[in-house]
Amino acid sequence: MDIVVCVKQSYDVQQLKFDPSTGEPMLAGAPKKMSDMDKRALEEALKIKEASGGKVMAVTAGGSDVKEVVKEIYAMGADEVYAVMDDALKDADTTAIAKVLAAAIKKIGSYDLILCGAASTDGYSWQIPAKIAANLSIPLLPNAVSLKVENGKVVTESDLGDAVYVYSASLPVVVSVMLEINEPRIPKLSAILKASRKPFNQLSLSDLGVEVDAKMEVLSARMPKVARKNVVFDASDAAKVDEAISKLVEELHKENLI
Amino acid sequence: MRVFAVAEHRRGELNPISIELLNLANSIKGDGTSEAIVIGSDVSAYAEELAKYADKVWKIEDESLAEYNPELYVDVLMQLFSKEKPDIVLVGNTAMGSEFAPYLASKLNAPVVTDAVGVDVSNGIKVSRYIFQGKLMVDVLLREADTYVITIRQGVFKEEQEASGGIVDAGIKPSVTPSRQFVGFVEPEVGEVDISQADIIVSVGRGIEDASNIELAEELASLLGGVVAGSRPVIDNGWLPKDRQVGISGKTVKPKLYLALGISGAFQHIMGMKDSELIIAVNKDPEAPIFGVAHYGVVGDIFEIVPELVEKLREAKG
Repeated sequence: MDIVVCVKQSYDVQQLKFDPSTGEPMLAGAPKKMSDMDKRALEEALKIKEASGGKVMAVTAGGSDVKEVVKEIYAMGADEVYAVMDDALKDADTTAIAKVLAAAIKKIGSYDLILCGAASTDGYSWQIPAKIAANLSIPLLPNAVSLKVENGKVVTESDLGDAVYVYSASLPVVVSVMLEINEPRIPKLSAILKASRKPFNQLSLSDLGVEVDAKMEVLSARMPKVARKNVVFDASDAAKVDEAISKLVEELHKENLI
Repeated sequence: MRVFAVAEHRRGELNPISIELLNLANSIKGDGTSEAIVIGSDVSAYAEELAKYADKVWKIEDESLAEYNPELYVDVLMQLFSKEKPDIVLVGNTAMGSEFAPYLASKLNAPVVTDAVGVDVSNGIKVSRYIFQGKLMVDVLLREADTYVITIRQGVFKEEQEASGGIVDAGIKPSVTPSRQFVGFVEPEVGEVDISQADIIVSVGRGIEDASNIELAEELASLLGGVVAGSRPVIDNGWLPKDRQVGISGKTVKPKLYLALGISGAFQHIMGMKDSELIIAVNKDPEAPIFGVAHYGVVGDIFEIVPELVEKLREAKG
């Protein structure tokens, strides 16, 4: 079975720093990594290949720095990586990225199953899987927490928040995965070293015949103001515990919770 | 402007986001209209409720629409929109909405923004949303288009504006056979507790250290009349069953009181509990992100604080 995994190189949000005077993020040189849910998608693809054979291919799109995520993808064990690199993709919106990914998947040509993370670590728009499915005119099985492929059919347990739904569809399909679908492997050092030497397939927007026209423009980005009362009681040493608790209980009374 | 809101319902209940979408539609429609669309097999009751908040309600009914399916939803919506041109289509930022909205937008060739917390139409269409796991708020200007699709975060537009719209049967039937089949629900196991319905939740994180310490939280929960839940590490360690997990891969909860014990507040967790009415966090680390969403925080050791709190609550109860 030919599996294509869509991977985003996200900002490592945990490590992101903000300019304290403007509240704007300091994105220049900020660390990036493979998006968390995409990593699960890749893990799931590798597991399917290990169980029933096939080929695992990955597609990523972005500026020239996506080379770094290509190494991460190879280190985990993908067979082939296709990277669409163009500076126009750095600030591209989800419509453009989905169009580019779908075009790259069509260019690869053979695919049975397309796996991607349900949302990215940084943007969290939850849009890409549905848009890829729409671009390829194939069904999407969303938010999978478990995935089975049998006799040309895919069955997922899909967590839609209010309940877990069981969906099925015939291949080819797009499946978006949630964090809990698996625990991704940690690549061995030898695999990481080898990964940086592996050649990858570089694609340009003109190779794909795709034009990127932004449908939106970001006007401003700032740290949100916290609208919370945010009263913090210090009980860091034993002598202060009593007072802190008394105040807390008082608040609970005021809020009519006890 | 004609602002359409796609209502949402599951298992016989109208999701409150449907009304919230109409609240927003009413506030931005200007001299246009707010129009609800409700799709299902028998939607009369929903339509009547929606009519209290909309200038018009479109019913789209068919047996095959009983269960949500994105292909069918988009198919019938496109049929409606080919005759009734929307300026803005509002959709709930639920799992269902965030699936079909991008799909719909692709078909409409419309710009789409998800998880909006603000929409300003005074000078072009400007939408506010959070990115980077809630650390950053961005204002996005949408390029001029015939139609815009926006999904709206739940619980933001609660201010109701009453209307009294007529109900119209759109007379639309699905024209496609879906390629995705709904097989069924994964039914919860017997004895599961539905934490999403609890008024008071005492939630524990990695800081609880061991399964044997859960009883501390149980004691506090029973005094407060609540239930015990946990963050992902607690469930992964097997200290609490899966149905007690709060967060993106668990349940989203909005209790009256959410008491977070030894929870650092990873983004995935915060997304599942930030809309609770009152959040109290106890954590050793004053820098823990959970304090960013807490109304009240106590910096300290849960093993000192919780027993003391239990005692105080006992006294208070007499």
